[in-house]
Amino acid sequence: MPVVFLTPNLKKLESQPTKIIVDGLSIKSVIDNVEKIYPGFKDKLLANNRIKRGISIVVDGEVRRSGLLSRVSETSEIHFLSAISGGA
Amino acid sequence: MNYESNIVLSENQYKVVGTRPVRHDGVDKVTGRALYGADIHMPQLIYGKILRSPHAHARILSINVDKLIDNPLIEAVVTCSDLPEMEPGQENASLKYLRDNVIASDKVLYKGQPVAAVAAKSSHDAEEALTLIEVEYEILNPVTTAYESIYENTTVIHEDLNTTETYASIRNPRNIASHIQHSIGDVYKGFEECDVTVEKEFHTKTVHQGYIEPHNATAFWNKDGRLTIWRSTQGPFEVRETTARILNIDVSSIKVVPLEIGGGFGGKFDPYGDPVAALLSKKSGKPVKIVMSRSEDLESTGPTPGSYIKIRIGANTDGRILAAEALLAYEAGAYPGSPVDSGALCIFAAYDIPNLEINGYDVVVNKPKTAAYRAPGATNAAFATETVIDEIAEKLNIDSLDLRIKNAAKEGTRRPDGPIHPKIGSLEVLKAMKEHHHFNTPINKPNEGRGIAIGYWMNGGGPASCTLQVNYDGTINLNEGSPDIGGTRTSVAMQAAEVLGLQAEDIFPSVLDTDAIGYTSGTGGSSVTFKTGRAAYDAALDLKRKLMSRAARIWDVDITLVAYQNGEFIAGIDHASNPEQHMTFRELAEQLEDTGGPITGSANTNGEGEGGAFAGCIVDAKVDPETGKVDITRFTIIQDVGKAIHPSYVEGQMQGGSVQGIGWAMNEEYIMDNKGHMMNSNLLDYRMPTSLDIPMIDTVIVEVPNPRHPYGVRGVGEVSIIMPPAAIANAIYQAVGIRLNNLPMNPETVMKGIWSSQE
Repeated sequence: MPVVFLTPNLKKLESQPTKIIVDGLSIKSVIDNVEKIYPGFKDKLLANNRIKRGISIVVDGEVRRSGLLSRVSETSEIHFLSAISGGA
Repeated sequence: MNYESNIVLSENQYKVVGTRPVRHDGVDKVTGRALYGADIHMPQLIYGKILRSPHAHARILSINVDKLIDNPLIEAVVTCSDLPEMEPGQENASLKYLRDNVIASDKVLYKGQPVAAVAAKSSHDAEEALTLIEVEYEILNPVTTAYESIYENTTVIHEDLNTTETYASIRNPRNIASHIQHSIGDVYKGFEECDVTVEKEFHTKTVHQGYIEPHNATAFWNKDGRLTIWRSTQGPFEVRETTARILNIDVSSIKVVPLEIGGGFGGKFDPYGDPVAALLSKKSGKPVKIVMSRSEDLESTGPTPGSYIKIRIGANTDGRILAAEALLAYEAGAYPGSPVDSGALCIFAAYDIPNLEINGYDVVVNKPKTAAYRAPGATNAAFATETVIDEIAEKLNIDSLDLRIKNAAKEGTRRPDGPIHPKIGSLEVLKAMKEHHHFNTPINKPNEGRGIAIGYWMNGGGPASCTLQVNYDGTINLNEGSPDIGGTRTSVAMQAAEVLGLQAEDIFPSVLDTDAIGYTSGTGGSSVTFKTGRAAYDAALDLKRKLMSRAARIWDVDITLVAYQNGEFIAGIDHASNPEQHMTFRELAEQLEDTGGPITGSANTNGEGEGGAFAGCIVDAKVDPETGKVDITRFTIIQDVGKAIHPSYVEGQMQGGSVQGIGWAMNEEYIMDNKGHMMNSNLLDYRMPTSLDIPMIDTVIVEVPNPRHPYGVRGVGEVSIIMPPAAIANAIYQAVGIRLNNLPMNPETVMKGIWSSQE
């Protein structure tokens, strides 16, 4: 099952683990399943049912740009990071 | 000096990719025909000028424009009251910041912030009219550095900011807009296992991108409600979206026409004069042009942040780095949004460190809101990391390049922010550094030293669109949405040409406006050759399929029998020897009208799969111990580019970034007085390097292909700026034995270092 990394900015409590394994083959289902365990997780990531501005989805080291529809695999590592903008 | 080929590890050979054709926009640019923002003229054009705050921090008590009413020379006046009403809601905090940066409402937060604007038939009349606007201010204390803002000063810049998740040592969290934290392993345990640790504090100054062409915008708000903006921008679609938010209109009401760019380097994404020119146009019914002066540009547009960084790195006697921690406080400027997130990512991303903790703070200060600048945030961070790494190597008596090789991040290493590095060319770059003539040439002159540094930048991707139309003479019109910086028209066209078996000169690339091309994210993050190149590649495949279908129709054979090889369509292998079953690209193009009409190939991509860039540089510096002047006597940059589509443009990017890094290291800074006023807002006193200040920048292109791009492109525009300050600091240490922790390393800083070492 995919592993979701809970960065310090995403954790509500210090006592939460740094990663969590949940079911899901899309970012939407993964977020829904983390929300069941840690209510409030969704609010940190979503606004109007879309990934918030300034957050990027990284699956297996690669930035994904299909929002909640982004696909993940059984062995995926998932990070939600600050979106980085470049300059040249 | 004779060097071997400057491209190493290149495996695949192509007919067009990797060659050096003349750039498509070359003639227009060298003959002065290319159209830039200030060149725009049209019937009834009038000119806008902006009244700017003379104070770095003040409350606006009143704005009186009565003296301009009924003035026959004045076409329109705007203040913040002309912006649409804001709806209440949380999202509007960021919208208020955007609006206030364009035209202030209740407070001004930096000297040069727009307060009102006037349009007149001549720019001189508009400028004179500004003197008739009366603004009453309540002056407040300014704070202009991140360190001062959170450790020393209790001035509060925004009442609505209150970050509580901070270190206890921070005195004033009210100026912290956000806190970012990365953590791997157990940093406390890691330091306990170290034999050597080095801890240092670094201060860097605000620096501007220094593009040649100042910001500009010409706007016409038509009676039908459609707004057109002509301007120099890296991101026409981003400008469209942000302007629509500020003016509270639909994006479809706005057309942004991107003109040629006289440099951007990240600084030309944000709207400044655009919404103001639009409002002046709406009021006057005429097109309005606003072009900033150099001083306005330096004082009012987004520079890159000054910073305070505290860093500690530890290693064992085997030369293995075991632990690292860093605190980064970056100046956001007047409104939140510094690149501290990428600084926090990049500060240790070039290394494989098992235990680390990074805390980054986005700190508001009374300076212009920062904008992106070439690998935003990474240069400040590498200055700290790479000088401390140098010091650790010295303490361990290990060659600093060997220490870097031993600890380099590679494919599979976890980045500080969590994700695993995919394939990167770190070891290949370090090997090329170690084998380079420059690295292996002894340096024995007095007061001359050699320094090295390495850097990582993740590069970017994003949505992109491309269409290809076949002309009946066998050439192609390529339409894209990426404004051309650094020759991207040509590097995109070359990728289409490679697929189609044509020459780069057979493709005519054009950058279209936001009405004419599909959404394309901006020219930033070193992304264009990767993402728009990918769109062009896919569009060429689409076009090729359609052309093969047309050939099959002409020959009355199944499309599966048609092949396209070496610029020729062939009706199947069985017919390869039959000249009647061959057609060149041009011969088929000539028949399009009679065989079904014109053909267009098109593609859109979400631009996923960008590959990170790794680079290193070697610098020789000579220090005059009497004056503190530092001369760069030799400079080599080695960079993993994935695949150089057009090696000359890649070399240009590597050299350009290196020179900007040298300027950042040696001289460039916003010199601020105690009122928060920039004292050197002109290019005579804001000292950028010229060709007289630098040697020829030698380049080594390393090609470790990005597996997620058909030709292996990674992106080349940014990483080269990251290393020079650290490498020069290390060279100065080798030359005269002083470690410098502050930028710029100008003669004053160097002499202070020399004097303090003599005490």
